[in-house]
Amino acid sequence: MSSSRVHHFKLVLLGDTAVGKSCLVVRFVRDEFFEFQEPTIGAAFLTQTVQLDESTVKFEIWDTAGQERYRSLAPMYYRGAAAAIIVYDITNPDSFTGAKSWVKELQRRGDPNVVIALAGNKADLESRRKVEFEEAQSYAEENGILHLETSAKNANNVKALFVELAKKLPKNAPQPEREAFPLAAPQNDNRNCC
Amino acid sequence: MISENESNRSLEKTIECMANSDVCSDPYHYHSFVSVSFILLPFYKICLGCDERLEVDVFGTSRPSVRCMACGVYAHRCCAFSKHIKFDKCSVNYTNNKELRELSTVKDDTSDDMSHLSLPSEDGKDSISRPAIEPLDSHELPISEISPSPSASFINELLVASKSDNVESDGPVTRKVPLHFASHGFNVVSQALQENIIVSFNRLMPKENDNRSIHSDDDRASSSDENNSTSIATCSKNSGKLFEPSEPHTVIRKHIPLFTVAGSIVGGFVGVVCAGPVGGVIGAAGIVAGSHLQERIDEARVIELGEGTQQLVLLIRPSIKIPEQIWFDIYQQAKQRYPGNFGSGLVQRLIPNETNAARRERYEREVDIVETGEDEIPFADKVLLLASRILNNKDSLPNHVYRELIDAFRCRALNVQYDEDQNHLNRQQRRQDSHAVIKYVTAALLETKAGFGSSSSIIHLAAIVESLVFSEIYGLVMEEIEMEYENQDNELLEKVANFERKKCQDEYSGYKSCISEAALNALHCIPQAHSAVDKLRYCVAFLEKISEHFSNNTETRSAMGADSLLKMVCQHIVVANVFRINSQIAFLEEFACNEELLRGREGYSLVTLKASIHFLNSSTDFTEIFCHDEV
Repeated sequence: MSSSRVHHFKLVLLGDTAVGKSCLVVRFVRDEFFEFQEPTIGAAFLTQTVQLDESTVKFEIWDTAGQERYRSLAPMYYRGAAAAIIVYDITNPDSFTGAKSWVKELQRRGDPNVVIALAGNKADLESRRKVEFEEAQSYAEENGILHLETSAKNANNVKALFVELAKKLPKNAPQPEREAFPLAAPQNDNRNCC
Repeated sequence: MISENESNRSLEKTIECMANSDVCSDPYHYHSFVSVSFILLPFYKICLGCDERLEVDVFGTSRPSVRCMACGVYAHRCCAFSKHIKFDKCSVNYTNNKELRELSTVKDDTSDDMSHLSLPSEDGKDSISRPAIEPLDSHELPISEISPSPSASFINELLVASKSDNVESDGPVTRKVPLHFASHGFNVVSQALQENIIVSFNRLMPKENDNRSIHSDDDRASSSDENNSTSIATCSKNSGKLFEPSEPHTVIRKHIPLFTVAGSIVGGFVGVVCAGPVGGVIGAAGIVAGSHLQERIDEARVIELGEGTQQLVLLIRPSIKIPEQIWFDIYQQAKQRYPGNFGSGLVQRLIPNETNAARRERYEREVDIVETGEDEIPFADKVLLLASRILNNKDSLPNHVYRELIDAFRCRALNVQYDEDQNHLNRQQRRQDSHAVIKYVTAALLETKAGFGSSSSIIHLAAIVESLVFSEIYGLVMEEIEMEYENQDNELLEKVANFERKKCQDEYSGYKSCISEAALNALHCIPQAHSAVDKLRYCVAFLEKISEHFSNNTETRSAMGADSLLKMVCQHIVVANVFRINSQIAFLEEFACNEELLRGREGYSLVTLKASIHFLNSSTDFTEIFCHDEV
């Protein structure tokens, strides 16, 4: 495997409370073996690397609080995010409505180039399904966002969600880093000839 | 409690580090001693311990001497480490550690821990016992203040915090693990010592002229340092207690003009004796030259001999506005006043202030640092060591620029204070100025060593410069921020006080079960750190401790998600009742600029803390935070 360049991306998890945001990301991060377990803050901040054919994407995953009372704090979290996963619960139609509002908010106030994925979680609870796949899929197509149904419980589509997201992220974007720039020579050159 | 073997191992590492860096920290009087070559030993110096004159030890028959890098005092080596001889504490290190003194409180007598330890004696052949630590009186500092290093203090805090978290704590932390006895890696000790020296040295620099370090690269003649004295002395008058003079150096400084004239007269006399009229003429010329030199020193001479590298590499922060032209002018003036510019003159060529051997030694040491393996010295520490070597060199351009910019900052800050009374305040000026100081000190370092300009190095370099700069001006900057956020801070404190009164009356009295003492300790440490990087570390520690506490308390041991974390952060902030927490967050927002950190867990911790405080500021009733509905 070629030693490709590692691209760092901030990924934010959005969605109503109890839709399984944390479980989804813990399943993605902890379910796989990786050599270096980087320090995390519970399940609220995690990192995970996705190996693509030509590059490596490292996600820095920021979880957010889903309670309504903390809704106004969300912009602090998704500011500067390159990718976002908006999670809803397929057994809870209200969470899908909430997910739509998150999509709107992100499109309006987030980074214009943010890559959004809509994740219908708890897909293992097929018998209790209240949000049809087609409905969510058509909404996603209308808004030009990714859509997958996932199950954090049995890991179905979890990795695929992050891989698809990684593929859509621009790999040639300049990495935000504190750089040194050459500055022009001082305007007042006081050098004397003698 | 740290075991005896562990303590000895840590001490060995410390001593090994001291041997490598030629510095031996005195844990009792807080001096940073280096040995002094007899060639450089001033004959008029007396020992701080025994008050006897220091001997010139040519044939190894006399007692060797040491000098404190921080305050410049001299002592016999045997006196410096004798348990029987008491002498004054290092004035510079003592001053630096004032803030840390509030942080650290040593209740237990640490003599049990230290009495069994030993250090090499002055001749290095055998060892002498360390004196037992006496109980500290109100004027003494605790042992943990040997190094004011943020990283060292941070580690000590965490050691204590993790201990206190496991044990049911009934109050604030009362015992710290001294740096020399903590279990830590080599690089941490090295970093701590280096930071100690950097901070101390930079505080001392404006007053130091007569002392020469054992390090060859510090041996350069410093007659031209007088150049700085005029402007620095002017500023130091205004800077008040933040810039305390160092007494041992004032005597020689006063006598430099006298020595110059006397030397010139003697030279003329010898010339007459030796070479008759011709020698007399030369001697007279010496008198004139000496007088002229002194005159120019008094005028704060500006000699422009070469501008050095024309292409500066500067640190740009697009989001930060600074009074660019003013600080560019200050920077240029500082460079023009740099005595090294004078070094290419005739006098400097005739009497080089750094020998080839010294230059080679300095170069080899830098090569040693660079070529050491990553496992032994991490990259960040290499940058730190190299940058600190340059800034330690009193003859270097960055050191000179650093001192001048700090003084200029203080002068401008005091002017702002005056303007404020007149309602002509630029409320951001100190912050903008501090950005400028950081920027131009970094620029001076980059000009000296362009390799720092690589993307990976510059992040570490900027953090180092920020730490150094804020060790000098943090108080002034925070004063401005606290003024701006005074209302918000007071309102939050009032809300907390109301909640405290309420919780005594109702069911919220049991809220402490979900509070982590270690997390509270970490939160309380944020105001005591003086740089954005260190504050961010405490922010991370704060969230980690909460997360650990929660994970340990729950039966499922599941990791804590953001839904629970944000609520618990709010709870801890209310319980901790941190003084002026809004100002602390404002400081971090202003100065935490490292994109790499802000994208990672440091950034997440900062945003979570900021979000929690924003929520608390807008909340009218804190009781809902302590409801058990969503945990």
